[in-house]
Amino acid sequence: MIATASVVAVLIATTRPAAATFPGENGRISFLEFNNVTNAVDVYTINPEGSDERQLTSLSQTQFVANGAQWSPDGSQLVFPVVTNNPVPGQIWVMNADGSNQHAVFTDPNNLDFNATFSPDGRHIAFTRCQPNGFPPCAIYQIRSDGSDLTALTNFDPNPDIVDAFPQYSPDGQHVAFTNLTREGVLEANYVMNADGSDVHRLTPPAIGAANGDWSPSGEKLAFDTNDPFCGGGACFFPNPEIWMIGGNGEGLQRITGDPNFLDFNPSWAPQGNAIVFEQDDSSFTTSQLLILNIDEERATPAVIHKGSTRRFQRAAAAKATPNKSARTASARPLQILEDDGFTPHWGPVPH
Amino acid sequence: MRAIHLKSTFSVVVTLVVAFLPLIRSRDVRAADIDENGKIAFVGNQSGSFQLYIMNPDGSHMTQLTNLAPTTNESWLPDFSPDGKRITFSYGQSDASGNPHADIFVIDVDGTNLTQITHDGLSAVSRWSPDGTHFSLLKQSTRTNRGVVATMRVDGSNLRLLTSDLWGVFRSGYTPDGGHILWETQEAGFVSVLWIMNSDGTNQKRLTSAPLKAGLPSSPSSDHVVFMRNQNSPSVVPTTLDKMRLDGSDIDQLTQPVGNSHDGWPNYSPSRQKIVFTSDRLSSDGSLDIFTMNADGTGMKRIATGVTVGGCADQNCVNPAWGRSSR
Repeated sequence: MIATASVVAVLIATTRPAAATFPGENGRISFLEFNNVTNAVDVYTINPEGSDERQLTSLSQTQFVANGAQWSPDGSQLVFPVVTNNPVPGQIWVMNADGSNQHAVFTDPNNLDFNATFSPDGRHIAFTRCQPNGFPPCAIYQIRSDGSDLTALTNFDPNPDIVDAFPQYSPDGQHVAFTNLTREGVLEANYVMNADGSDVHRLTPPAIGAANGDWSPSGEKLAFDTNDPFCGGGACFFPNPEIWMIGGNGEGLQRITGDPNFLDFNPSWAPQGNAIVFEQDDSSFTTSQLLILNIDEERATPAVIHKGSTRRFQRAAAAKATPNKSARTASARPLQILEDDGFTPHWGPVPH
Repeated sequence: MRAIHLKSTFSVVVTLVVAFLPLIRSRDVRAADIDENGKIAFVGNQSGSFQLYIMNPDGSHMTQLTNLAPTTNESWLPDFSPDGKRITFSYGQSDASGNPHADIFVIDVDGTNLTQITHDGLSAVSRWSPDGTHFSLLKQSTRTNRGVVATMRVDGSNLRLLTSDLWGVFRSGYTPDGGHILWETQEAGFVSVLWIMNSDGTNQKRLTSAPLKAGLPSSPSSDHVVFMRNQNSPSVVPTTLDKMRLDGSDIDQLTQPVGNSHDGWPNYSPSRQKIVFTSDRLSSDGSLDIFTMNADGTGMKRIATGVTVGGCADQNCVNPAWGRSSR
């Protein structure tokens, strides 16, 4: 009665990835972008300074890269889920960092598989598995990186409102963080379990609606976004995602972004642990930009490294208003504006 | 209610409890003397569209009270005035985008004197205060589009918003002494929990734990409330009726599911000795019937069937209420 809306539709629609950031030297950032000509979403990479943008995939409009492309620990590969209506609902694909050798490693016509992430040793890929057509319940599954040995880390709950999603291995490979909807009567929170699926426990408080965690390269902190209602400037936004952080032991909870006029989500740590790249959308989720936040500075103003072409007016206003503050960011470079939309970033290490 | 105060400010309230014990006892004695025959009001669509009905507690003499324009809004949530002479309910149409809008209405139990109390399309889920002067209700916030627990005089004046507009709320109700309001909410990130506060909105406190997913609370008795377990859950999850003290203790499951049956929308009889509720436990097509049982969960019996044709979305119709005889 008074049933809540289908949750998986929301998960897919908001394209919130599970990221895995592994220690290393800061390398390129992967992101997704909508192609207005082909009506497809493709994978791109870009340098953190905003230079050398490259398109890696050329998918069709019937294919959708759900929840981003995530880096292998050595920075040599990307894993990305391709969701299509025919013939398979969701496939796990892998390609080299330059876009070559694109191939599916796992396909199953009976489930929607998406939201894939490498383990720290590169031998496994964890992902979110939902029922056909994306209906809940959803659970966390794992395969070897060659697509073999499908294993459930969490199980489908008899209650179809229970959704486990956005898995992410801790850098030491001992734990997996994931987001759950409605487990234990909590609307949305980040949980942590052992890598074999045991000892599931909630990490974040219910009131902030936490999701989409990303371990810091040291494994000491988890950056995540929230769905808590946020009011300011005489208006409220639902949801109003902001970027938060919490210690792996559940201590040190703090919000690190908080502009009520924009929606901040999809955080991904820099491999050096000195910055976070995240997506910022307008209040209707129709335009996006990628921002870098220097986490060494409290309340540092993020710099725009990639900004949507449909936001020229806002872009110009932002550039005029914040040119000096942007110099405080991780790369200590001036505000830089590119010409295309981008979303769901993942920061990779320099290949080694 | 006194137990709630005991939990937080023990020494002071012990005195208050002792002082008010005679009052509580006398209220219960009077309740036991109330004519249990009374009337049950509910929302049914057996006439072709959802309308307000009234019947005897044994299901006899079912009478259609309203003949309002058909609406897709099926949750009218009727509630009797303390003297049993009038019924308040929520009614309205959806806009072009499909968003429901409702206002508070009052009608005499003989179907006369239909009066629209609010005119903003943002008011619903009204319940009378024990002295008959106020409603508790849900007022939709224009700022956040979420429900807020509010009170107002029964003529619609003196509106007071009592809870945050950041989280959704649903049904609320006064305690018999009028001093507190108990309500259902998602406050602080839960699927559905019950809270209680002073009737002026102060001293808000959560009563139920998250896994219970408690919702659809009855109007409280002097010491208990009946609610539905597994609120906001998909239809494959059964729902049952539970009872607990007003400090959140002594939770007692009153009904057991039959398969994945759904018991819901509980309300006490005027004496608080019986409970009326809806269930699909005996229906083959998921439609809701109206049941009564004793307040301890015994003596369950179906008193009306066929009150919904083709069921209702999310089982949010029927909403039976039990009022005293209007003598």
